[in-house]
Amino acid sequence: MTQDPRAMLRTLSVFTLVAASSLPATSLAASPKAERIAGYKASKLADATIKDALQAGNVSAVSEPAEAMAAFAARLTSLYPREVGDAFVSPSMEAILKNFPDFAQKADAFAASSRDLADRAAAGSPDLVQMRAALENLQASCLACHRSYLGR
Amino acid sequence: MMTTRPQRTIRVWDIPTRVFHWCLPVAVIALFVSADTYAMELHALAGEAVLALVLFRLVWGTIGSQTARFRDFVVGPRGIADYLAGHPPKSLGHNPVGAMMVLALLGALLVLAVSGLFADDGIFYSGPLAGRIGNALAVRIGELHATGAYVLAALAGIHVLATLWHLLLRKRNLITPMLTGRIRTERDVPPPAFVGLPLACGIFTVAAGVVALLVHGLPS
Repeated sequence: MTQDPRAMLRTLSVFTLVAASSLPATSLAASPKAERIAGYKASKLADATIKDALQAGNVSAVSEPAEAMAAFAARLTSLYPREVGDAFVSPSMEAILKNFPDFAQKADAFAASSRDLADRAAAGSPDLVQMRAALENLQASCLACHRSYLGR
Repeated sequence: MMTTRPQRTIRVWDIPTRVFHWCLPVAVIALFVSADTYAMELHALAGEAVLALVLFRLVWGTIGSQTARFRDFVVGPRGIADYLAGHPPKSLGHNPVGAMMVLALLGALLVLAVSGLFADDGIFYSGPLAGRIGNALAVRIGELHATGAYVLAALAGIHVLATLWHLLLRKRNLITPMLTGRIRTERDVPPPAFVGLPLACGIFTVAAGVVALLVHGLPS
């Protein structure tokens, strides 16, 4: 059993992300909203874990969190409703629903960049420089969406 | 026939404790508003102010004026039970239940202020010391920091409600003495001992210096 706290955090984040992204949409325990929240939180942690791994030059530690993030990103648009119900809707959600094609485009960019990073990490001899560039690309896709829909 | 002792006015709160007390809600409101509007520079500044204030209060609670000292107002479970049973508190300052709230608020503020230094929201903002720990740990601390804010909000809400309860139902005004420093009491007790203002200024200057050094002064 590993004693390295960073390795433990990495394992925990991967477990959380895999659990969040592999839950069936019909599950009673996990509503799309709960999946979304858990997925975003886990993605944030996965991103930080990947950053740690790349800073340490440990490319082998990137694959699992990147794969889990790509799996969540691929499901992202399916976790959003298509119209506002009677329930309270946050300003961010309202903006997303009003501009769903734009949001979907940004979600696609997130999915493509996280998939690119996961594929590079899974390649036989991953290139550290290219993976750092891929991570920057992924983070840019996160920023674009946050700027548009969270106003920051 | 019952006799009523004459009431007298005595000073119970020194200036440093009162200034600390009223600076804190201003800083905490600034923290919540800045977090909500994502004005992170203001948030960081208010967080540093809170950390300096809490450090000051911890020292002032040890060597400050009598009613500010923890040993004057913090009592054990028996003291709390006695107070709840109707016995007058030992201290002229905080009552035993209020003392628990003082400790809870100071503890929550300390945890939040320190965690804020190491927090990373994973997108836009990193605390000034987040770079000293791993990114994943900083994100975890950021989540703890955000969750802890709800605990602080709950504690602050309880504190305000308790003060209003004293004011409206028990007809005991705890707010005015925290402004004027004086209470009217019929208890025959000696007035509390006070420590000079220059010492408080010195302690706060050192506390602010420690925070400034922590946040801006350590080599990365």
